[in-house]
Formats: sequence, C-alpha cells, structure tokens
Amino acid sequence: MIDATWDGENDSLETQVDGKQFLSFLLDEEEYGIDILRVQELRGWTAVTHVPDMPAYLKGVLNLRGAIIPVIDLRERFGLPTLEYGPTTVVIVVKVDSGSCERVMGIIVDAVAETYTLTPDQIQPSPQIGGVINAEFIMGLVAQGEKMVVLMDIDELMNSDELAIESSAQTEG
Amino acid sequence: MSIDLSQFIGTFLEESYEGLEVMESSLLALDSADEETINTIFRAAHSIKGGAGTFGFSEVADFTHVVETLLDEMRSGKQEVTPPLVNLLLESVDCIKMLLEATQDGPAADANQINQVQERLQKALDGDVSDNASSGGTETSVATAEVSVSSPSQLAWEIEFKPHPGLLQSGHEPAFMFEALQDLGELNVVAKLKKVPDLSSLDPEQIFIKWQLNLISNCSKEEIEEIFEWVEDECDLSIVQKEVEAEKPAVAESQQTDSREVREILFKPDASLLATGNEPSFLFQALADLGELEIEVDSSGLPDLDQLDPEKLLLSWRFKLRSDCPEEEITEIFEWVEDECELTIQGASKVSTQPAETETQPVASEQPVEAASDKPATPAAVQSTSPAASPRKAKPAAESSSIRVETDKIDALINRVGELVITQAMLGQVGDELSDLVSGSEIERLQSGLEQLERNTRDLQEDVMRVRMLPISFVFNRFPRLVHDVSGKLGKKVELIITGEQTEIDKTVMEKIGDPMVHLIRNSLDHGLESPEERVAAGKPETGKVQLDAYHQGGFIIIDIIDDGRGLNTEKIYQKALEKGLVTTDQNLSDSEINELIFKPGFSTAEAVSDLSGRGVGMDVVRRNIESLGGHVRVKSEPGHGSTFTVSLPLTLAILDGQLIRVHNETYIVPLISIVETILADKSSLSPIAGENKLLHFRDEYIPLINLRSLFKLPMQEEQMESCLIAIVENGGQKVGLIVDELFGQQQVVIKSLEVNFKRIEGFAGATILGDGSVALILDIAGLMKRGLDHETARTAKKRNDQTRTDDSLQGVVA
Repeated sequence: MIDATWDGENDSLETQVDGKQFLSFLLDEEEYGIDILRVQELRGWTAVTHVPDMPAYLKGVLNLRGAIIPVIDLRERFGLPTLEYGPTTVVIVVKVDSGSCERVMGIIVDAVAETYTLTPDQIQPSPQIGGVINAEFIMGLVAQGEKMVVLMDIDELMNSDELAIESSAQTEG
Repeated sequence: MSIDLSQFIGTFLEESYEGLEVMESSLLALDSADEETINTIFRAAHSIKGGAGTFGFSEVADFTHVVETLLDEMRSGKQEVTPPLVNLLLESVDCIKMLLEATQDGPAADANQINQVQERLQKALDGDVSDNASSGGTETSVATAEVSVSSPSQLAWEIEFKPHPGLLQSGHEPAFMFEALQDLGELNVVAKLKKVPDLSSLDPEQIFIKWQLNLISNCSKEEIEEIFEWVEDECDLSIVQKEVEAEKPAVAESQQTDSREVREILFKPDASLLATGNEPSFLFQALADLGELEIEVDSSGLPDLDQLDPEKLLLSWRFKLRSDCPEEEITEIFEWVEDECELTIQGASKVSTQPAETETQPVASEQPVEAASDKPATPAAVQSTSPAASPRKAKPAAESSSIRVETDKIDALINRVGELVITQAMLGQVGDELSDLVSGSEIERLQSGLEQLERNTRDLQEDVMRVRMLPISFVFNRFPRLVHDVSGKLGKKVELIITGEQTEIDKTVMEKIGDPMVHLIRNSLDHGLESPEERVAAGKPETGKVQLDAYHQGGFIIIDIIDDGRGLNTEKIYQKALEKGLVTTDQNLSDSEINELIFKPGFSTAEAVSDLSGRGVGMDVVRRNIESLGGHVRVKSEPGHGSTFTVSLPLTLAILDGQLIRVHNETYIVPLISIVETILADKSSLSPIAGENKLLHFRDEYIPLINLRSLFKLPMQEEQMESCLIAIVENGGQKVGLIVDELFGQQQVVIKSLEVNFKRIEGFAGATILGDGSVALILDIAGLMKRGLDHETARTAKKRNDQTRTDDSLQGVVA
C-alpha cells in the first residue's frame, strides 16, 4: 500500500529500488525497528498527566499541540527494568491504525538509533519463542551486521490490552 | 458540457428541509386567509418543486406540484382556509419530507400514504370545481370561477391609468404602482398598446401605454388614489367602482395566476447560436421541466443539404407550454441566449371558451417580450409579466444574510482558537516571570502587548463560540406541530405559548436536546393536562396551556416547560414507587422528593400505556440524556395547578466552567455546575463506617464521601488530618462529597476529547489544556459516582437520612 509513494521517493534518494524504510530505536540495549511512515515526530521527554487507574506502562496523556495523546513506556510495556528518564529519552509520536480511526500516540524509548531501508527478502520471519516481546507484536527480524533488529508491528502493539478502543477493563453497568 | 448537478443535491436537500420547516410553521400559524403566510408557504413549496425538477426527483416534483396548486388556490382565495385543509397540507409536508428522504437512501416512502394524501389533495382541488369542470374540460379551468367565494364584501375597482409620455422621466415606474395595487387585493392588468409607435420612431424614454386595471379588493378609493398620488399630475386617472356581479373579473384574474395556462413560445435563434456554445435542446429540457411541452420545429429556413453549414442553426421552434409557472421563469431559461434569438412568449391562449371580458387579455400578453429588447418595450414587458410574477416580487422572502458553513470547519476554528488561548496564557505567564526578573521599558511594552493579546484572544474566543450558537427556536419550532398533532389525538385543547425562543445555545447541545424536550412536552400533554371536561369541572378554562420558556442564567440556558394541568399525583407516584421497590415504607420522603422519583429508572405512572408517553422510554431516559450533556432536570408541581419541568443546560459543550482542584500533585477539573458547595469539614462531622470516614454529616444530611486519592490509586495522606476539604457535588439528585487536597481557581476550559487518540475512560468527561500547557482531566461526576461509590455506603447514608427525617418529623409532632 505504501509502495506507490515509495517508488517516487526512492529515485531521488538513490536508495535501494525496492524496500521500506524503518526507524530503529534502543530499548534496554536491544534495537527495534518500526515503519518510518508511521512516525509523526520525535519529542524529548516532557512531564505527562497521570491518568488514574491505568496500567503502569501507560504513563499518562500529553498535550501535542492541542491534541491529547496517550504516552506508553515501552520498557514497562515489555516488562523490562525501568530507567530514569533523561535527556536522551525520546518520545516517538506514532500514527496507529485502529481500524475505525487513526490514533496518535507516543511511545517512550531509550534513544533513537538509525534508519534502515529494507527489502522484503531481508526480513526474516519472527521466531515463535523467546525474546522479551510477545511474538504477535513482531513483524520480523533483520540482521544488520552483528546486530539483530526486531521489527515491530506498531498496530498490533498499540491496540492491545488497555490500549484497545473497546477495553475489556471498562465495566458497563 | 453538462454540469454535474449531483454536487448541489446536498444544498438542495438542506434548503428543501428548511423550506418544509417554514411550510410547517407557517401552516400552523395560518388561521385565516392570511395572504402573506399563504404566500410564504407557496414560495417554499414552489422552490422545492423547482429544485426537485432540476435534480430529477420527479416524484417529489409531481407531489409538490399538487400541493402547490392547492396553495395557489388558497392564495387567490379560491379555496377557503379550513382546518381540515391545513391538516391535509401538514400531512403533505410529511409526505414531501418522506419522498425527499427516500431519494437519499432513506427508507422508501410509504407509497400508500403518498397516494392517499395525493388523492385527497386532488379531491380538495376538485371539490370547488365540480360545477365548473365542464366549461373547460381541463385542469386549466380548475380555478376559473371561485373568486366569488373569496369575500362578498369585496369591491371591484376599474382603474384606467394613462400616464403622460414624460412619466418615466420623472422617475416613476408603473410596475411599482401595480405591485402596490396588488397588495390591496386581486389585480388584473391590461395594457393597451395602440398608441405605441413603430419601433423605428419609438422614443425609449417616453411612455405610450395605457393600462386598464381591475382590482378586487375591500379597500377604499382613497387607498387606491394614494398609490397614484405622486403621479396624479402626470397621468389621466379614472377610478370607478363596479359591481361584483359576476365571475367575470374573476375569470380575468384567473387568467393571470391561473395554474396551467397555455403559453405559446416562438423561438427563432440566430444562425450563430451554436457557435456561442448554447444548445437548444437543453433549453427545451428546462422548459419541459416547467410543465407539459409540445414542440414544433419549423425547418423552412433550412437550405439544401449541400449548402448546409453544420455550424449554423437555421431552425426555429414553436412551443406550446402548459404550465403554471410565471412568465419570468420562461424568460429566465432563455436568458443566456436572449441576444442571439428572437423570442416571443404569448400567454394565456386558453383552451376554454373565453368570456367576452377576457378578450383583452391576450392583447396584454401579446406584447412581445422581445428578447433583443429595446428599452421602449421594457415597461410594457415588465407590466405584462408583473401580475403573474408579483406575488413573488411584491413580498420577497425575508433574506437573511447568512452563509452555509460546514460544522467541521467551525469546529476546526474553535479548536484553533482554543490553542491560541492556551498559547496566549503561556506567553502571559512567561511575561509575568520575565517582569519579575528584569525591569525596563521594553518589559513594560511587552507586558502591555501581552495584555492586549489576552483581551483580543478572549474576544476572539467568545466570537468564535458565538458562531456555533443558534437560537433555540430551531428546537422549539417543531413543537407547535407536535402539540397540534398530540392534542388532536388526545382530544385535548391546548394552547402552546413559546417565549424566549431567541435565546442562543450551542448547536451540539441543541441537536441533543430535541428528543428529551419532545418527551417532556408529550408528557405534559398526556399526563399533565386534563381533558376539556375535567378542566371545566375543575373550574379551569377548557383550553389547557403549555408554556415553553427559555432564558439564560449564569452560563446556562434554562428551559421551563410549564403546564396548567392537574400537577403530579404525589400519592400515586409514592404508591407506584413502593410497588416497584424504589422506596421502602420506612423512608420518610418530602413531596418534592417523591416527585423526583419519576426520574428513576423503571418508573412510569401511566395507567394505560398510551401511544404517546408509554413508549417504554421513561423520564429516567430524559434525565440521563440531559445529564449526559452536563445539565439538570427538575420538577415542581402544584396539585391542581400544574407542573413545571425545568431543564438547565450548559450553553456549549466545547467549553466548560470548571473548578480546578488538586489531589496529590495532580490537577483535576470539576464542572462547576455539579458543585453544590465546597466546605472544610472537621473530623467531628465525619462519621465512620467500618473505621473509615465515609459519611459526612452536613446540614442534617448524611452525604457519602469519595476519597479521590484512594479512587485514583494515588498515595494516601501520611497522617490523619484534623479536617479535610470536601467538594459536595450532585448528580441525578444524589449528593456526594469529594475529598480533595486543595481548591484552585475557577476557570473556563476548552473540553478536549480523550477518545480521539485514546479511549473513553469512566469517570472522566475529557481533558483540557491548562495555561502552562499541561493536561488536566475533567471529572465526570456521574461516572465517578458509579465508580467510586460503593452501594454499602450509599445505602447507609440513605438509611441515616431517613432516620433523621423520621426523628425530625416525630419531634415536629411532639412539638
């Protein structure tokens, strides 16, 4: 679906003919990648407003130029040890396809790493077991030199559990 | 080069629905042959018909046409305005609405109903015609003779008006005078053109026409003379009163406004017409939309095929158009080609035999509307068309200077301004901080600039908010119809009084308030008002009164629905509530508390489930709907004298007056409307349940408490405080105390949805952005109560309240 726009840009950017660009970020010394077209912007960490009675990974809501967006700490989401937020802490603002609508959300990561252009054949299927992340959130794996980059399915991730529009936690009397 | 009309369908529909509303409200206001009102209705029907024709909604157009014909007869006094006729027209309005909806993937219109109404319309049309139908044998004659019905007291005036040739030079315009005459009554104008010289010798600044005017009106001679007052020195005028013996003037009159007259149109385009991009067949289509059209082609001008220039148009056409449209509409069609053709429109060559008097008539209309019209023809042309056209011209529809804007655009604007306000607040804060640190004239200038910015942004915000505000009459407008229908069904006589309908309210609130209001009014009609017999027996006037009153009060709009009926039957409500287990016998309730029980879920006092109120929707739904808008509904009742429902609503859903509170180190906003009061309660007034302070004893009332810290899972206070700050809030008739840490100021906040990028969270109505750019959540009291109030506490509170009351009343008895 993105290919159409992609081709045009590729010519001018002189990158590989076929492929998608990914933005990678660091989380507890692991590198993860997400589709760069889903990234709306990068922000430094600013204080958020706590929303009561939400899981710990849901840090709260943020004022993004008038829009109220939820912010998720990915470390806590995946059960990694928490880290004090510092100058390099980055909030990646992503656009999430939630079926009926597109939602804008923020994810807190340790740092932004690189951008990669990847062809489909470079992407290996995700392993069924292991890793800190649920397999359903993983789109695939990519070897970059000695490192392994985990490509994340942002839609799966950001529509799961408490983040689902129709939350099961919501009780209707 | 056909234009894609579909893009205009939306506008057409919108206008049509508005037109229908106009028709409906005018019909309800129509109690006699009020010409102005009938004209309004007619105009609305006419434009719906025209639009429907253009967009090919032939069903709508056909149906509306019949309605229009009937209205036209009412307008000309050929049909009397009777309640059954008005009801029929109201039903027709519904039918048109249905048909319109059916064109837009709405439910298919009920063909039976439409046919039935159409038949009745036709019958109404035929009703007065029956004795006359033979003379013409066509629909055309329908209108012929009825004017005599209109009013026997009316006089016929024969006016001869022969202006001096110089009349036009002194700035007078005969057509205006005729229009003024038309306002007095039914006017028939005949132009005598004998004196008009040849075109070659015609002086366009002179007038050569003499008019003969027949006016049927109950006006006095002075009134007529007054119209000609300004020209009396420049014309020969004779005004003679005739006897209204016959239908003859009426016939003449009907010639002009009669529905479906036959016009002959000669259309001889210049050879170069096609070269300018015009296409005759489009014109013909437009003509055909006006009525029945017969086309004859005159090909005598055609040369041999070998000499034929395909780019030249050598044909001419002759049309016979059977239509009730004013001549204007025909000329309008040819408007674009008038410089490139010869056009003659001959009106009113009637199919039926003509009474002698009308012989002059064709003369009048024969005056060719020369499309390539030289000036001299103009006065005559205007004159000849004016009788047909002037009902529209004379009283132009009140044009309000407004534009249609999509609500999305306005919402975007409001959002943008909301952000501007926040940015401004932020700048203001920075300015203040800066001025503390630095001093100097620059800072002062900055400060005054910021102050100005603040004023301007506030004003801008108010102005923008006002864009969304509409008078509540948009909601109220449908109630006269509702009352009319419902009271008819119930056999009650009701007078509806509406006041304050100009009170403005936000469009989103308005959209949602309609249904609850309908329900409340139905309720008043059904349960509140008694039947005429009962009323008379109770010594009240037979006709009951329902009053709707809207006004502003402290940032809210208050709508009172007052009836002078029997009032609420407190005893019956109490019994019913006992039956349903909503109250227990040990509860001691005041009358007003019992009355409030009607808003409880599962409560309905109607003994017989009626078609009206017993729809399974109770007052609880009304209350829930109103409260979901951040409003309240209350009832006051005086047995035997009526009841009053008071609905209060926020003026807008986009902004809210909020009380800022602090809990732990978070700031929340409590809607000001929910707050009853805020108190500093000391420990003694808190009564513990199971060791926890869960009840507040305040003003002889036990109020359950919600500790926001524990509800929001925030760290609890270290030590037990000697006193605590409590905001007492109310929702659904229930009070709750919120324990907060600190009260900040009150502030108007822009409500932002949490759902857009996140989801609905129980207990929060949304969020807003504070002056420092941070987000604060807005508490939703109803949701909060649902979440935070355990049943045990609520029940204990209630029990203790009942206990206190019983004690009080016992003491009262003893005393």
